Amino acid sequence: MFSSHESLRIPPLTSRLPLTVQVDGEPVQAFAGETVATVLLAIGRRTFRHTENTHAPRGIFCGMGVCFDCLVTVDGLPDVRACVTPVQAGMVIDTRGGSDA
Amino acid sequence: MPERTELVVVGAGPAGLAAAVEAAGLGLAVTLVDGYPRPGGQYFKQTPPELADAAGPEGHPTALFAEVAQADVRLVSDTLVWGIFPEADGFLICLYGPPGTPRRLLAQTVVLAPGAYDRPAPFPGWTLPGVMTAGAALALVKHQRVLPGRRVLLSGTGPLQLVLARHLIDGGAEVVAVLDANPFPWTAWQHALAAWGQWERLGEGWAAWRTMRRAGTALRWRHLVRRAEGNEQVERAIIGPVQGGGAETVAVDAICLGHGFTPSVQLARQAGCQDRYDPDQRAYVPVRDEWLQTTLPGLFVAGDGAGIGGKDVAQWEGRLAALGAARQLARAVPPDRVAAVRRELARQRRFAAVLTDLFPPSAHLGSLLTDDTVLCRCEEITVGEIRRTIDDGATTLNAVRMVTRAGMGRCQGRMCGGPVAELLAREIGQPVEAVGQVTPRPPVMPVPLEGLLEEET
Repeated sequence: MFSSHESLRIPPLTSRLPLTVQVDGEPVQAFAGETVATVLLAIGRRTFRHTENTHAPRGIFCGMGVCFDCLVTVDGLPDVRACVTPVQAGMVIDTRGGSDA
Repeated sequence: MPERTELVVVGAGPAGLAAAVEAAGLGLAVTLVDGYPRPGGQYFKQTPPELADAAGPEGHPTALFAEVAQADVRLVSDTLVWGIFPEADGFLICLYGPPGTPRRLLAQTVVLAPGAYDRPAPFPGWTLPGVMTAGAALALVKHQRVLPGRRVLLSGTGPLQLVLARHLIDGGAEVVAVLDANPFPWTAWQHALAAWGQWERLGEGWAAWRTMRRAGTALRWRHLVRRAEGNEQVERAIIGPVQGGGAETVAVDAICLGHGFTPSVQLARQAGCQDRYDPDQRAYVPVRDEWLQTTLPGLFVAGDGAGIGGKDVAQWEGRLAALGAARQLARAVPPDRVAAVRRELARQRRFAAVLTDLFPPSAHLGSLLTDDTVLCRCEEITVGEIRRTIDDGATTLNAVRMVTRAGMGRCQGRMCGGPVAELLAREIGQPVEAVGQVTPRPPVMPVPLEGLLEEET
């Protein structure tokens, strides 16, 4: 589990409600109200997927749900936009699936 | 059978909220459809309540939230509008949202308030993770309370960059530099003084400037990022003057691109509204009459989706479009109210014109493109591949699209449409409006196949 001192979250974190999600099989701490993209960025993860054709890394780009670059697999559902999807306790996030674009 | 309603407003930013409130006040049955969990759009984006304590004092509280809650407006959140089809008795609106959301609405009138998104500004390496739009970075810092990186470079044009720099510095990031591709706006400075005190963003810009001074952040005019490099994510930025040599390399873990905004025109185009190329906006905008009605009677467009004017222009356009819809429905429209709304809209448009004067979109970006630069992010189509189709005789955006698939991916050309058109126009020596544009096909947003059905399965 990543601890908060190495995170990119802006303090204070005291009033936030912690919850645990899974990222690529590992438990990761998140906070209520965060998006999937925020949780990934907070632990230093910038690459959310690799493209089908050239296996190029991709991450968050537009941050508002229109570019479809930040796609991840959430609870088995592929191609979910990380930047506009709020996390929930126990959510299973996978960045290894690639995309069938 | 689709549900029937008098007015559907698409988008709950400043234009859509104001349109809904105004229309409800005139007694119209209004449904307001929005793609996000909470209304506000980008200008009035709300911090999730669970993170609100940690957020700064700023945010953008607006009376419109309370007004729309009190008004008789049906709000349908977290729901995409993927198609609009004119029919004999109105417009068929196709929705996809959480279970229980209607899949179809039949609206007698429609106000589109789709807003805008950050103008895509391709350069070599812009697909590397860590390179993102200024709007994305601002939303992360302000509303998610997370930094996009520890050493951040800002490159683009205009005042939003200064606002972003301030939020990043206050949040604990090191802003290595803010690059503005335009020269310092000396010539427009008098305009700015004329609007002083009335234009809150200038005041915000001044506060940002002081924060940057304290942090020792350099603001460099006529400079931009030329290339991003890194393995799995951005590690270095090559920066330099817009014209001439003198490039240098800086270590970064994030680059934010702030080249202004471009209207979301996809729904209006898909519905069949005529549009025109606006050279000041460097974008196509829907053709509208004095009621903001498009060439499809009963369908209106308000706010940044019809040309970037900012949140205040957007609100008054929303109100005017609502009055226009009421008029179209043969409701009594108070002439005093129409006159007041038109007057305030004209005033807000004058202020917006000052800002456009001060910070025009930069036109220098094309010179950065190399043959291996990806233009179409979805289909991974490079400048070189597009140049080959031009060598083979392509002279229109549609021809380029058919050969290369550029613009046929998930984003439906939102990211690459403008840059590909500008590249094509440059290469064949034509004005950009001569190469045409790509018409989005429904669904204009990707929706699961099941989601296209009229009823939930």
